[in-house]
Amino acid sequence: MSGDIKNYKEEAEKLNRLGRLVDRYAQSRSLGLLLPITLLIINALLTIGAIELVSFKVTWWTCTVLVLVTLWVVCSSTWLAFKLVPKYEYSFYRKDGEIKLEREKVPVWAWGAYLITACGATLLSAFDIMPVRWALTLVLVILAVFVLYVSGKEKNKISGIVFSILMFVVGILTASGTLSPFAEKGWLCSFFVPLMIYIAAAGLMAMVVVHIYNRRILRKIKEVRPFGEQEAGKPDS
Amino acid sequence: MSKKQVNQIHNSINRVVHEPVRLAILKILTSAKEVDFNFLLTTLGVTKGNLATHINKLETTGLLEVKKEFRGKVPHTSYKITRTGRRQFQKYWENMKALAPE
Repeated sequence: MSGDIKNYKEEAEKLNRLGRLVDRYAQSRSLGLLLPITLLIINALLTIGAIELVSFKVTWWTCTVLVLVTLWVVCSSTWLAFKLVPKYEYSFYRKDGEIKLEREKVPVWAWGAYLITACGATLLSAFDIMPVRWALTLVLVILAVFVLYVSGKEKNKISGIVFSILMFVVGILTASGTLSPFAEKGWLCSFFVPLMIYIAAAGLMAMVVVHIYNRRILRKIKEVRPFGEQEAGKPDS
Repeated sequence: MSKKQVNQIHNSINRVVHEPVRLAILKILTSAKEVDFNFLLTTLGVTKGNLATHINKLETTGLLEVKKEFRGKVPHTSYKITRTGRRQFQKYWENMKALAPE
């Protein structure tokens, strides 16, 4: 009987470890971030292009291009991002399989607080009440805190932590005046373009780091799993 | 704990849940909303046939729910723990804890 109980304990411990690893593995699937990041890079390039075009020559068609680009940037970063990510975030992990975690809804007050503070800082800077450097720092820090909060609710903590740390670092560097690309090119270029570049770069770095971590966890799962080896992974049939 | 009590707990242990692979499947399902066949294959490392048999057993005893759909032309099967499954799994751990306290 005591041998049986010892076996139960060992098995329970192994199972708990497997459960913890699976949870970490499921929460560190970051390749889905590739979609919004690509969109953000395209938008940053389009914005720079449109601004350069308008500053070169203002005609009716350059204004039309600017309006179209603005519309595209606004629509793509809201509606498309919300539609694209949930639909395709697992397609990068088709071979490893899909796990959907119980996600909590981000409360409206959190969205409201984030939008009010971020838009407030942006407007203060647009009307020259606050220097661009401080407004950019504020927006980066607010974004870092918001992403950290949302990642906890969305069960994607690890990506959120890495991204937020990077955002904090960029925020500190911006506040200290170390980072100021396009500083002499007007408000739009000195505020929005660096913001998009920082977010895209931090997102890309977070995605790579978390993906490497995800593979490490998968290796650990393969070490801990007690039921032998599976046959060559083929798609579900 | 008296021998009678131990025997009582032993007898009340759910044999369907007690099997290691099925226990691991339920453990994964309790922490997720939905899991597909490939994910269980990757994390558990059992063969497809073995996994399918265990899943079938859990399904027939009402411990998990199977959802089959087509994604384009490719079939996709995912699993979800039922309320009974969650209750049975919890009860199993309580029995185990009673048998082998920390």
